[in-house]
Amino acid sequence: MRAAVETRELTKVFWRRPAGARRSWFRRPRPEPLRAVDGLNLTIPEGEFFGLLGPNGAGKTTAIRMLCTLLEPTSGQALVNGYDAARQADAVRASIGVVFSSERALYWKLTGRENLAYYAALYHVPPEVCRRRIPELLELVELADRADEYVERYSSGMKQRLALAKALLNDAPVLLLDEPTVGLDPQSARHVRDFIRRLNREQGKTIILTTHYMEEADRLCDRVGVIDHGRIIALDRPASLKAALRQEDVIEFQVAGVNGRLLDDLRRLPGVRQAAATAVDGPAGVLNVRLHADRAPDLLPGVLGEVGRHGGEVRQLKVVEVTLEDVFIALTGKGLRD
Amino acid sequence: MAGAWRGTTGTIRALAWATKKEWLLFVRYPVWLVILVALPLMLAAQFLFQARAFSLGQARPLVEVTEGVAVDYAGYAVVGMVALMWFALTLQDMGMVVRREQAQGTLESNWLAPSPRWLLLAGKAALLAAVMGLSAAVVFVEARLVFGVPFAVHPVSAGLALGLGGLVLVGMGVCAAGLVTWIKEAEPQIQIVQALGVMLSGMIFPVAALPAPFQVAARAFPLTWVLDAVRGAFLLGLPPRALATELTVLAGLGAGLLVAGGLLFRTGQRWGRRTGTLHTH
Repeated sequence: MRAAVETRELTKVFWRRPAGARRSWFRRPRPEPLRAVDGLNLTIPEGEFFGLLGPNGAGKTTAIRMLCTLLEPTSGQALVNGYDAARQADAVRASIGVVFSSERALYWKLTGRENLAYYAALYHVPPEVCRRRIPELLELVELADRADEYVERYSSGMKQRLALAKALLNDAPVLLLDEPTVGLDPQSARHVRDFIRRLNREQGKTIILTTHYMEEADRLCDRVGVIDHGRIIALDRPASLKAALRQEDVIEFQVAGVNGRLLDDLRRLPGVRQAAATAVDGPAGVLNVRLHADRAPDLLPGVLGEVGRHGGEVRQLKVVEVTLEDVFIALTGKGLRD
Repeated sequence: MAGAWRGTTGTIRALAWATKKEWLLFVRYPVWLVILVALPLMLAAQFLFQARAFSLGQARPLVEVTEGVAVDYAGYAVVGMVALMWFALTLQDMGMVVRREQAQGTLESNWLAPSPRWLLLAGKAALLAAVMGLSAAVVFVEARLVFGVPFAVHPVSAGLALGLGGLVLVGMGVCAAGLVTWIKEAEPQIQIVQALGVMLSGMIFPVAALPAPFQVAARAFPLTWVLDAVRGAFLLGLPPRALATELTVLAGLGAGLLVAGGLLFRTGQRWGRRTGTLHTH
């Protein structure tokens, strides 16, 4: 099968002055290289739903920006639909639809329909095709009845759906979706996920999705690449990645009223392979802790003892199924939202 | 891409939509009435009252535009004021168009499309041409009907002066837009250029009133030539032959500024692609 997207040793280096360095009129701190993407090699066949996972700053967005021609690679090559992103930028742009996480890609003082008509003209979609496609897309994203209202009156979810419709105007074979559900309420996020899954299954679009929501990638993607510090550290089907971890047990619990050293002490317990914690939305000082262990039953007394020693209170302790988040923790030693 | 228009037809339609978008965004904020009508009326009235004050209640004051040739000062100042309005609008609106798109988050979505990137500037230039034409017409009617300013228009020269003068203004706007893609916060620089324009180009007083070194600098300032040509066509009624020098200089300046601005713009956006600063503001 032909590759829809292929990257060969794709690298992007930014030069940044160190944060906090002193600068004066006569002396400016020397910029230092930051390898945002470091030798990325990917082959994504036509029709695949591919997920690029990683925490903030891992290099996902930089990779997407190079694929969509907004950034020039420092070295290496990116081919999209067979075209070189650096040398055949216009052909690449005609082959892709792009959605970024912010809904600000739209003109808020234009109506939804006017936004689509404007972008259709920029994508050189002929008027007779526009007359048919714009109403179809508005129906598809369930905005037909609000199409003639200014975008400023739309909710975040509606703006994101309109942004998706914009990305489909040129009927491009490849869609690049950079965290399309960030900032959406759960219902809108589910709506967007269902929609992009249909695009892949029913229309055969190749989709590259970046996200740091593991459940999203797990549910949607045929394959995922885990990226950290600009490099792919694992690349496989979600089920295969999780199967590789099946020899481990994962204990998840919420704990309240402990200090920051609990995690270090838990990591020192015999049988613990990895430990990660994230703050729970809602009550302050409550952490969600995930421990990877050889055998959960052997570990539980030690865990409860450590939490008690730190003056904490355990809530909702359970042994859970391995998720992609656990794969990520096992690979990098940190949680995705760190 | 299936069904896609390639080449000129698609670009023309994209340009038409870029212009329509600018127009819709312009008229959907209530400020449009102020820009098109209220501001031109009030600004022109200031100069027209000033001219009346200078006359000391006697005859209309005159100003010498070239040796031995004088025109009505009210007409002189009103043309200068209209040119100042055009100049400020072009530098601020065209110069900052990339910056505004960047700040509102729409720049990247425009530049992700396979249309030429200068369309943003061209759409803005077309809107400005309409705005400038309408506001100038408002001022012209006010000056003629309310204040009795004697215009002597040569239609061919007027068309040429406005066309070539517009080219120079657009060229300056493209240069400003090119610089903005590099330095982003360009408001102070643009204001300095505007202040230079007011001082050097003979907007409200003749260049001959400036000290000799400033007169040389004034001749290097494109707006001076725009004003000379427009005044010659609208106040003196000179035919194109009599304005040949001014019109030739305007054509050369317009072409040169457009090329220089285009290069700056192109290099600036290439630099943005390399450094990843297209989306930062």
